[in-house]
Formats: sequence, C-alpha cells, structure tokens
Amino acid sequence: MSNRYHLHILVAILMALGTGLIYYQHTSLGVPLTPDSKEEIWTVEANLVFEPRNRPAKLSMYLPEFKERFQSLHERFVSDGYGMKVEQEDDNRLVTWSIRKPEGRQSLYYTVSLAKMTDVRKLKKPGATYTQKNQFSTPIEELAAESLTAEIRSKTADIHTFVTLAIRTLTDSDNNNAQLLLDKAVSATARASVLVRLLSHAHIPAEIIHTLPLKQGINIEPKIWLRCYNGEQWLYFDIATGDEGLPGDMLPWWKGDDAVFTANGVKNPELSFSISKDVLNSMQLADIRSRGRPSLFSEFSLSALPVQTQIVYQTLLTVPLGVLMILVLRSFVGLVTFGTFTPVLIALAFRETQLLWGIFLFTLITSIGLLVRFYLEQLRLLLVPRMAVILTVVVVCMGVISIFGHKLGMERGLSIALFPMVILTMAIERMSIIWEERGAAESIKTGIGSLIAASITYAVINIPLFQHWVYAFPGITLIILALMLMIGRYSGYRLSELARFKALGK
Amino acid sequence: MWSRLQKLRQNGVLSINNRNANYILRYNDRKKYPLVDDKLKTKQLAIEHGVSVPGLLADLHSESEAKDIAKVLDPFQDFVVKPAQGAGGDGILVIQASHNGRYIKTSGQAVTATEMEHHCSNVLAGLFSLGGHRDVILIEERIRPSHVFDQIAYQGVPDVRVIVFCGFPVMAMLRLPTRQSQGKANLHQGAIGAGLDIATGNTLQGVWFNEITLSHPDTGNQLSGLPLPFWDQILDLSARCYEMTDLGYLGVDIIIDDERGPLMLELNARPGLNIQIANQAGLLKRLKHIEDNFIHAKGKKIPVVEDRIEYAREQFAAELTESGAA
Repeated sequence: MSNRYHLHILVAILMALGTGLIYYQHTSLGVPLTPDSKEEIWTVEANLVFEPRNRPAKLSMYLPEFKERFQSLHERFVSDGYGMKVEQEDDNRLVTWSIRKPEGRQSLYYTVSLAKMTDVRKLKKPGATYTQKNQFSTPIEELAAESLTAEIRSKTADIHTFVTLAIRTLTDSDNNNAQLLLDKAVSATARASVLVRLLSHAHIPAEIIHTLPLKQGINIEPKIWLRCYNGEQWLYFDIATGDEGLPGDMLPWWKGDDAVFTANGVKNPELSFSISKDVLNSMQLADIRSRGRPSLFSEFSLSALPVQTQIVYQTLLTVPLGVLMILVLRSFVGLVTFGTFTPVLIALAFRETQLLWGIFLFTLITSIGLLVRFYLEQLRLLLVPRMAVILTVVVVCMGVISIFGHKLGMERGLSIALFPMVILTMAIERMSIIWEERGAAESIKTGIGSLIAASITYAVINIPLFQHWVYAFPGITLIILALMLMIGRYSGYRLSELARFKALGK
Repeated sequence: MWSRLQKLRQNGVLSINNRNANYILRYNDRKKYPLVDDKLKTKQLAIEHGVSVPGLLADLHSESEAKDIAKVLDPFQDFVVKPAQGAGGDGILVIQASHNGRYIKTSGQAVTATEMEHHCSNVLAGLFSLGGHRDVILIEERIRPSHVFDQIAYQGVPDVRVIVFCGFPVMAMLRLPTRQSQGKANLHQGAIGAGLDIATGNTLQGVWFNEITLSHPDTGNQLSGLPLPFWDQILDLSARCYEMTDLGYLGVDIIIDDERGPLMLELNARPGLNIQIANQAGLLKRLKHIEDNFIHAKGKKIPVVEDRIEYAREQFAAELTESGAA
C-alpha cells in the first residue's frame, strides 16, 4: 500500500513543480501563454552632432534609467575614437564622451531598445524628501510663495489636489503672486523649476522629470513632467494642465532642471531623438529579456541551443503529448493499434503531409507493401531478409510517389519522404501476419485503429497553443509526466469493454 | 452507458486495466514469465512436477535442423508443430496424417515439405514469438480428442481454460473450435467459450464473439448441461500449476486426450477476460474473495492443493439461474 502513497506523492510533486515553473516563467520572465501574442519594442536613438573647435571636446548626456515601467533590452553607444564613461550622478545616469582633437563634423549615437516591463512594480526606494536648497532668493519672493501656498492650501485637501492647483495657479496670468515668482520665465523648464521651489516651500518633495513620448518619428521632443512624492508613491503631473498621471507611452529620461546634454569646446551642438517601433513575437521578447537578466533558468533553457537544434526539439517535445494521447486512447477508450507508439510517429509525419494527404499516402504505401508482402510469401524468404526487401520496396515506392506527385504538380506528394519507413515496414509485416492468422477484417480493423489514433494524435499535437506550451514551458512536460503516472494506475473499465461485456452488464 | 458501467462494477467484472495493474503486475513475478512464455520450459517443468503434458517428439533449434524437417518428421504419422514462444495459437500446425511427403492438416488442406520447411524457418526467425526473438520449434504428439466432445466440437481439439488465482481454480471454461476459428480453440479467432461450473464441471451457456450463445453455431447442438469428464483431475492439474510456476494469476489450458485423460497444454500469465462472459459471472468478485480470505487475512496461509480445490468448489459453484436464457 505504501507504494500507492509513493505514486501520489510523486504525482503531486511533479504537478507542483510543473505549475510552479509555468507560473514563474509566465510572471517573471514574461513567457506568454498564447503563441501569437505580440509586444511592442521601441528603439530610441539619440544623435548628438557638433562641429569641433580645434581643441579638446567633452560632452555629457543624461541617459534613461530603467527602474520602472520600461526594461532595456539592448543598449549601444556609437562613438569611435572617443573616451567614454557612464556614471551615476545624483539621480541620473550620465554618459561622458571626450576627445582630444576631433576633426570635421562629429556625430555620436546612443541607441536603446526597450519594452514594457512585465510586472509593473512600484519603485521601492524613493528616498524622497523636500530639500532646503530649493529656496527663493529674495524676501519678496519668499513672501509671495508664502501667500500662494497659504491660498492654495486653503482650497485643497491633499498633495494631489495641492499640486494640481499650484500648477494651474502658476499658469494664471492674473495672479500677481504667481507672476512675481515666475519673473517672466516663460519656458516650460523655468516654470517647472519655479514650481519645484514653490512645492518645496510647502514641504512637498518634487522634481522635474523629462520624458520622451514613444511614438515613431524623428526629432521627437522631450516633454517635461513634474513629479511629487505623496509619502507613498510618485505622482506625475503635466505642468501645462496640472493633470495627474503619466501616460503609458512616456519614457522617463532624466531628472532635474539641467539640459539633457552639456558640451564643452564644441560649436553648434545639437541633439535629436528618433524613435522606431518593432512588433516582436512575445516568445522572442521573453527570450531577449531573459538573456538580459541571466539566470540559471535561461542559461539552461532550450532557447540557448542553436536554432537548428531548437527546431528539432520543438517537434520532439510534442512527442510526450502525443504519447499521452495514445495512453488515453488505449487505457480509457481501448483502441487497438499496431505497436504501441507507431501512431505517434505516423502523426509526426502527418504534420508535414497534412491530415488527408497523410492518410491517403499511408494507406497507399501500406497497401503496396501488403501486396508485395503477399507476393513474397510465395518465395518463402526468411523473416529478416523479407523485412529488408519490404523496407526497400517501401523506399522505392516513396520515391516513385514523390516523382509522380511532382510531375503532376502535387507538391504534397513530396512530403511522403518524411514517413517513418522502418515503422511502416513493421506495420506492414504485422498487418500481414494478423491478416493471415486472424483474417482480413481484424487486420483492417487494426490498421484503421492505428490511423484513427494517429489522426487524433495529430490533431492534438498540431494545435499551435499546445505546441507553444510544450516548447515554451518545460513545466508542461512535467505535468504530462504526472498524468502518465496517474494513468499508469488506472484500473477502471475501458470504453470498449462496456461494449465487450455488455452481456454481463444486464 | 453510465448504468452499464455501474452494472459491470456491481457484477464484479474484471477489466483489462484492473487485471494488468492489480493482478498480473502484483501477483506475477516477471522473472517467472519465461517459464510460461516458453512452452519447452513449461513442458520440462511440468514433467518435473508430475503434471501430465502431451509428449514431446522433437525440438528444433536451428535453421539447419529445419532444413532436414522431413527427416525429423518421417517417423511420425500425426503431430503438432508449435513455436515455443508463440502467442494466441499463432503458428501452430496440426497435422493429422503424413502422406507421400505431404502433410495433411486437420482442415484437410495439404502442406508440402517445402512449405513446412518455410514455416519452420519463419518460426525459428521469431515471426510468431512475442518479442520477435528467435524461437524454438516443438514437435508434439497430436491429441486425440475425447469423444464426449463429438457433439459440440467442430474439427480441432476443444480445451479447458482454468483461471488459477494463488492456487485456487476460480473460474473455468471449455473452448470449442468452430468453422470460423479454423479448428483453433482461441476465442479471438472465433472459437466458442462455454462456462464451466467449478463445483461440478458441467457446461453452462456459451459465448461467441462476446455474445451469449446457447448452441454451437456449426453443429446446432445445445452447449449447456454437458458434464465434462475427468473434472477432478482437471482441477487438480490446474491447481498444481501454482506451485509449479509460482505465478499468482495464471491461465491453465488443458486438453482431454482420449487415452491419456487431461493434459496440461500450456500456461498463460496474461489470460483473457472473455471467460467472464461465458460464465455470466465477474472474476473480480472471486479474486477479491480469495484476497480477503487468504492473502490479506492475517495468519492465513495458502492451503494445500486438495483443500484449495474443495474450497473453490464450495465457494464458486455456478448460481443456478436462468440468466443464460435472458
């Protein structure tokens, strides 16, 4: 009895392991559950051009950080002949290029491909407090800020509404206090900077964040957002309207009121952003993602193999699924077939020939093989040489069918070459023995049983969703294994037995 | 469909899956399979244990011996050519007479010496053996069927199949060849199975292709109510096969020779389930009964042959019902 529990435990472990793996792959690595789900990949290119000034040049540019919302898949710098370093400067990532003697018009590139993050996680470590350094310089500004803050505070309930109203008040040209603080500052950056100081005055942590709207095109302009920390999370505000919420297609690039780049010792520096969009199969994307985040799992996954081998495994991994089908057909239905797993191999061949052609070609080849077998019976050959002869005849027949198929313009005829000829030969031999010993009816019945099993197996392993599952999720194979173990202890009736024992079921 | 499932369960009908998982796998040690799968080994073992078997005339092991088959067969008028590892009666040739280098089968068809030679080489190459392994040919004495079967047998030799569970003969049937089965006593090939009352050895109704039949399709004679001769010996012979092979779930095939009486023909470690239809009774009920009273019962040992037979006769007597006529 103990081995009964043994089996249950084994099945439970395999099931748990299988589902766990699938869950991990789906949620963490973003492996999609359906094969044809597509995801967008954005490629952002920042191009910095300038003319040299006959002296050493040094250029710095802020780079986007991928901590939330987006994930970088691939980053590339094109800057031949330049010294380059990437470092963290306060809240930003910064690349610095330097060269002693640039000649002619120069062009530096930074390219990054990115995709939306699979699990939208909140930024854990905001560390946001308002800072004392953002102070207004004159007492009169101080006073104006004080009265503005008091005015806004009296009309609002929380940080969210406070900020919205602060933005709207600053855009109000009739508000004297606001105009005083702005001091004719018209650019968005300047206004944002004033806002940050005003909010600091009200003890609200705030900062400017520059984002790049992800839309295909060239000369994409960064857009300024204000973000405030409400004690729990960062809230993003449009500084033109005061509306809260950052649209999903905004890529945060750099923070603070500095320009995106600084250039020393050059003439006419110019930075332009261009963006292109790709649609990638989610599978490929998951693949790229896991490569960017090396783990034991991705290191030892099938997608680390050469593509040729991967294709082989895409087929091979459907075999356990097919075998499971055969198990079900035999243990629960009671279908009789040639050999145990012959139908699975025939089903694999059907994948290439398509079902109807597969059945036709299979029937054709076995019929020819049987005729040859009956003819050979007269020659009284020994078993092994006879099988060898049939095998050869099967190969020749396949060749002839391919040639005729090709001549007649039926390219499907060519796919017959994929039939497992050794298996076919065995099937022919078995069929002819059953034919002689048990009669034609029994033989044809078994043949049809095999074809039915092969067709059902084909139909199952040919479902794109299943193909995707068995290949993308090794966990599925563990679950299949568990199911097989369970079927291994099934001791109930088969469907065919209900008919067979009908005389006992009264 | 569901109600039939319930009924089958209620009647204790043993299913293939259940037989394989809970009886064959549990009670039959795989190591012992060669004893029953190789008829030459079975025969030798049976002789050692004093179980009567048809006499062995010759055994051939190589192609060169098969070439000289005519010489080997020369001394014998009638005989049976049998693959040692054949299954389901495949590859068996029953020759009733030899005449001018031709062998006459029981069906009346003649087999030439070359055909015989070819058949032998096929057998040796493993055409009929279970795993396609090389095989051995047995030349056995032909059985002269007892005349009691004349009424209900059509050609061929009827045989008795007894299911022996842990030494208890739990169910039995008489297998009768038909025109359809070409003289073979194999139910798959169209032989009739007639249930046998374990207590008395009287025939019950028959089963033909999974259907109940009350008369022989070829002779038209009634199948039931025929007392089988040598019933005590048949039970004894089959029950002894348990000690002989140590296989817990066993099908014992017995033929009744006109002169020698019951002979053990072959053993089967995976006996078929149609015997249940022939007996109108579920095997599972009887197996469970033995399991509950002897195997799982504490302090109980499997009794000796005589006690087992007596117990089985008491417990598994056919219920006197008219169910066969239903």
